[in-house]
Amino acid sequence: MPDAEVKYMPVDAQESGFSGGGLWRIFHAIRFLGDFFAGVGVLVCLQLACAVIVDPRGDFNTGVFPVIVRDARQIKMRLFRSKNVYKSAGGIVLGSSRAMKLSPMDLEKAFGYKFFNFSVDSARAEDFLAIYRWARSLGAKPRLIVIGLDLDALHDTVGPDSRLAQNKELNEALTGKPASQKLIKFHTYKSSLTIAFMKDLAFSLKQFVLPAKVFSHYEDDGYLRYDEWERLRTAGKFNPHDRDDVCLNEYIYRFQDMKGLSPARKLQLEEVITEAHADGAEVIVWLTPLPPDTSAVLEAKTGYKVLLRDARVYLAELSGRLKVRVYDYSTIDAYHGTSAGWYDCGHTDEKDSSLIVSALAAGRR
Amino acid sequence: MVFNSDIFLFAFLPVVFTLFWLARTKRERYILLTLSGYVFYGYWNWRFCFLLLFSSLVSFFAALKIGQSGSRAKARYWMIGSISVDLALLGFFKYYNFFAINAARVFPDAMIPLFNIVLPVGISFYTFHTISYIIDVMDGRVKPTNNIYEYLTYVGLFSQLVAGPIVRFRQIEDDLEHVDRPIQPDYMARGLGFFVIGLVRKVVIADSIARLVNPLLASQHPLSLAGAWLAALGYTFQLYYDFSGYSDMAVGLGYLFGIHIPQNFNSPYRALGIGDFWRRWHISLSSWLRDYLYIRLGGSRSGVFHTNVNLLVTMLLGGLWHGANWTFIVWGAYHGILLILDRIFKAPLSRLPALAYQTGTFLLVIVGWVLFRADNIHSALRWLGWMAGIGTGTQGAPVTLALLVAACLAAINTVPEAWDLRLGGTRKWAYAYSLVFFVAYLFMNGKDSVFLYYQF
Repeated sequence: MPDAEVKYMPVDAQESGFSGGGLWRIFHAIRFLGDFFAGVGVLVCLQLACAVIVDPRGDFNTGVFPVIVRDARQIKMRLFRSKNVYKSAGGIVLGSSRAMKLSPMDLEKAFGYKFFNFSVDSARAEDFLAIYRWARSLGAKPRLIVIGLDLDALHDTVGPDSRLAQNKELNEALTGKPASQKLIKFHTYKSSLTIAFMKDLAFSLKQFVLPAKVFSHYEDDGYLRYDEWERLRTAGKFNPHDRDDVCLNEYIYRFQDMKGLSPARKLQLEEVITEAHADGAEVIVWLTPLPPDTSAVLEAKTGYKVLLRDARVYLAELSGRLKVRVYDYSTIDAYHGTSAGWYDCGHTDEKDSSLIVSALAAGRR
Repeated sequence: MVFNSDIFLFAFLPVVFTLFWLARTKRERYILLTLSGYVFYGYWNWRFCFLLLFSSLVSFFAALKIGQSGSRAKARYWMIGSISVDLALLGFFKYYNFFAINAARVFPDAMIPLFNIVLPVGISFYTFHTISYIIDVMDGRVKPTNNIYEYLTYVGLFSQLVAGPIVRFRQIEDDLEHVDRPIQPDYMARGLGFFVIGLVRKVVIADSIARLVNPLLASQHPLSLAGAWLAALGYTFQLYYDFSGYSDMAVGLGYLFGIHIPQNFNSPYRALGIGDFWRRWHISLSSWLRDYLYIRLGGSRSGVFHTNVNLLVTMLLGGLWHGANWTFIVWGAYHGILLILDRIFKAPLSRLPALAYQTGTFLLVIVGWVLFRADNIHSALRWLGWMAGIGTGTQGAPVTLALLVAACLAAINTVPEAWDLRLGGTRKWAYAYSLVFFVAYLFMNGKDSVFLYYQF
């Protein structure tokens, strides 16, 4: 067996700059720590200053440099409030980015009244409740709430999305209490201390110097348009598998730590349903699909299969208990979807989203 | 709780550090370190603190009995009893279901029950800590301590509790005896240096590679030749930077409290031969296996055949220690065979040019890591097949991974380990550490990453 030499690091006081004893050592120690924390403090302040000045995510409303990150919550709240959309919307779609391509025009044709797609990035059950309550506080009186439920909307270990945590109005709507400005500010500043934010900073500066094409935008009814991808598709140059490595990675990380359905989030989902019923609205819940390749990877690498089974059992029970329509569209066969109807490993395109709307309407008849 | 988390960095560590240096007596510091260890451990699951305490108390009292025994035979009973308890706990929590499932395949009518067993974090590590203590007491290398607080501190020291290094009592006995000494600024500076370097290795390098390698290996599509090699190389570096980063952090934390934790990695990918590799990789484990298993089995004292058998058995059990899966057992056997061949062909191999010897060793280690990383033997063989050009597909690897792998390849041959750096304690060094820490925090903020060895 190899004879491993166990090594200790010799500590040379002269080389480290310390000498002397007693109080002098304590002074040195405190000064060294002080220098370290001062260094960290200066760097944090510099980073926060850049974050406020450049403001790539529009958190601080500085407005000097381009806002390059889409905060769907902020944008859709603004759209919903503007042009009295909130008054005319007979239906509201709640969900994550995987429900963003549900076309309000298709829904209007299917159900007979105007819809607003209020799906927001990485939405979980608390987002549905916050958005519904906020919409009602404006005076909206929807007749139908269509909830596109991702499995990880009921994630049991991940906290709320930071964009919800930073949203004062949604927080107040969710809790019924005035949101803590200090907590919101803290979350906003903390989220700027990330590599992702640094990349956004750099991209905003680059956009300022060399403006690039818009990747996507929301129409007045909340419908998402992938300007760039749709353009590439039309030109026959779009490949949905180009981003597979990044996309699959994202989903694996989402589900790796999910061990079960969160009781708190189930409660929040049920609160949306009961409050909507009390307000005279109908609710439809549908489990959002993933393409077969993605499901296979998740089943191999995470507890996705068991989670999906548990979600189906839960939703079946929920349907009976709260008298709500529930549809399992977690596989493409369930809504007669296609394996080609995807923009990437998790997001349906217009065609498959349209098929989902047709299936929802057919199920309601 | 993991070292790269907000709760550890901004709550747990500052509080424990401050209270430790405010405490004056040995007893106060022992109690504080013990309690902090249990809080650290209990953050994951408080129920298993009782298991940790039970294991510690059994070995503590058994060691005292060994010390008090009039005869060696009686002392042996206490040693065997204590080790049996430790191994029984480890065996049940870690291996019961594995053996039950495999036994059921061989004896399908046996109706062997399976249990929903939660694997206690770090059980493999703290079990080896207690076993090493008992054996050292038995062999007279260490006097059994009659200070329960000192012993609980040793077993429950949070810096190495859940993922090593495997520290023997005699390695830190002197530091524990002098735990009441005043603050040593040079230790503190060195500790901070080790900690931030370890943090960067883990959250910047290892986690960045993991984000690229994991989807490759999760994909259902066969990898291309290049993709398979990049995945293998990526994992090779990911594992090294993850584990050595953690070890550096553990060493750093030890220094912050005046405790010398021994070196655990010494540029293993520069090894010349597999024997040399095991003198450089997870040193605390390889030396433990050597001293408490290989030598006990007879070592190299009973002829070539028995030496080879002892090597193979030691490495098989070393592989099994890593996890309850056939891949770990095969990996252990693979290294056992390589060690045997290394001994047999030592002379001709040592005449090879150093670069060829190092490259050959590195390639053999990579093959081993494929076995280590794969979910099962079938996946491992499939991956190795892709690396040999058999059954390859078109799934390549992102360019970023290729660049990272190239950078790591250059780094392992040029950048020294933290142990070889002269980490200073002047103002400039404090600012340097703050910059390194800040960069690491940007990478880790908002992401929860667990150490690869966390569940061992």
